[in-house]
Amino acid sequence: MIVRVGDLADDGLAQWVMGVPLPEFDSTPWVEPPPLRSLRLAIVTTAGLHRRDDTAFNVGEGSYRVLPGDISAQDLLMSHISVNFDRSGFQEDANLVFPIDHLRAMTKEGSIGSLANFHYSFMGASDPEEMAAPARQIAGLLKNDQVDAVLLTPV
Amino acid sequence: MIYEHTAAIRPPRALWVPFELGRPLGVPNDPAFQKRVLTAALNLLAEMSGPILAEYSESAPSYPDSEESWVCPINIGAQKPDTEQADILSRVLGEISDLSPWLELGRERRGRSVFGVSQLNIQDCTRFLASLLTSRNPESRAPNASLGESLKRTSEDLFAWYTEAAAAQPGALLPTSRALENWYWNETAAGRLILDLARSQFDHPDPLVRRVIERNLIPWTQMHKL
Repeated sequence: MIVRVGDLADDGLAQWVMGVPLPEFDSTPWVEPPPLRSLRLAIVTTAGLHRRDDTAFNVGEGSYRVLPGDISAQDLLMSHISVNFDRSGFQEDANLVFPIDHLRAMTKEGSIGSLANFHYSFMGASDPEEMAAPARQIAGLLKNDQVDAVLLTPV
Repeated sequence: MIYEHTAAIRPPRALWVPFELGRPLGVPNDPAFQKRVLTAALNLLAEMSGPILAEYSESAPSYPDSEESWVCPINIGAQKPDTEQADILSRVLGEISDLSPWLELGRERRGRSVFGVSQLNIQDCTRFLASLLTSRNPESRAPNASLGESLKRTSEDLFAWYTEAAAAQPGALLPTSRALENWYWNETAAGRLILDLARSQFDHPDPLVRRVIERNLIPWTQMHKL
């Protein structure tokens, strides 16, 4: 879920955003997953979320935090280093960023097959190169958890 | 996160949404709206070819009068120049005392709080930040955190504490993110404290402290105050 540069409220921020170097990929991997009602789904967010007792994210950090599948919204904190996005929405409603309750409900009603045993959070304002190795590690963990698809929620 | 970046990177499936940063599913406390956005994203999994960059057309509900009509639940007076920086600490602690009933009300209503990344209580967060006005190396840091990490985490907690309290007024429209931001940085001693700290420590010898002050302490929209 993404915004346009033109939607950003501040010109300085917009200019900075357009100057961010982007990673380059040779191709776009494509997979046809099972139907949603049979699919196993995980959430991966770059919102800098973690459990209350976990260590907060630091500047430049490329590692991730584990969010157990049975985590409660009460246990979620956000320690993203950027101050240029709204935090009040997440303060009010964790599902605005980490829609775990909706996904649990959809699973219970049969719209989604199942949810992963673990979800994951990065802190998105880091060099993608720092996140590359942890991301590959998560890919392996997701495969072991038999996850078919990932819902990525950026902020 | 950014449309232009996504168009360049070309992930398999992406959904552009017309919402402000920090609100990927649109609107807090509106599960029906959030589920529509979520469903639109998940439906991309049924697409047979890609990469796909789809556009979600439903805008978040707007409340054009909410920014003007929202009032902080307590009357925090206009900032006044202080001749002694110690006054800032007293003023912030006074605001915290006045806002505490609203904070508790808000936590009770939401059933949660996002305060706590520093693992300090609000008074110790404030004292640490105030000590940085006059000391390059205060001792009272966040647990297991460097000076720069402590600066970032305590400032986050201070903002979270204030905005959780300010948005707690029962029965009223939730303030917009911009209204909350402007209130914090224009009308509170806490915002003044952070701005003063940034001015006094911009040349701190610790590179992480300088980095946090330069980029991660004050929003772009408020940097003109420095």
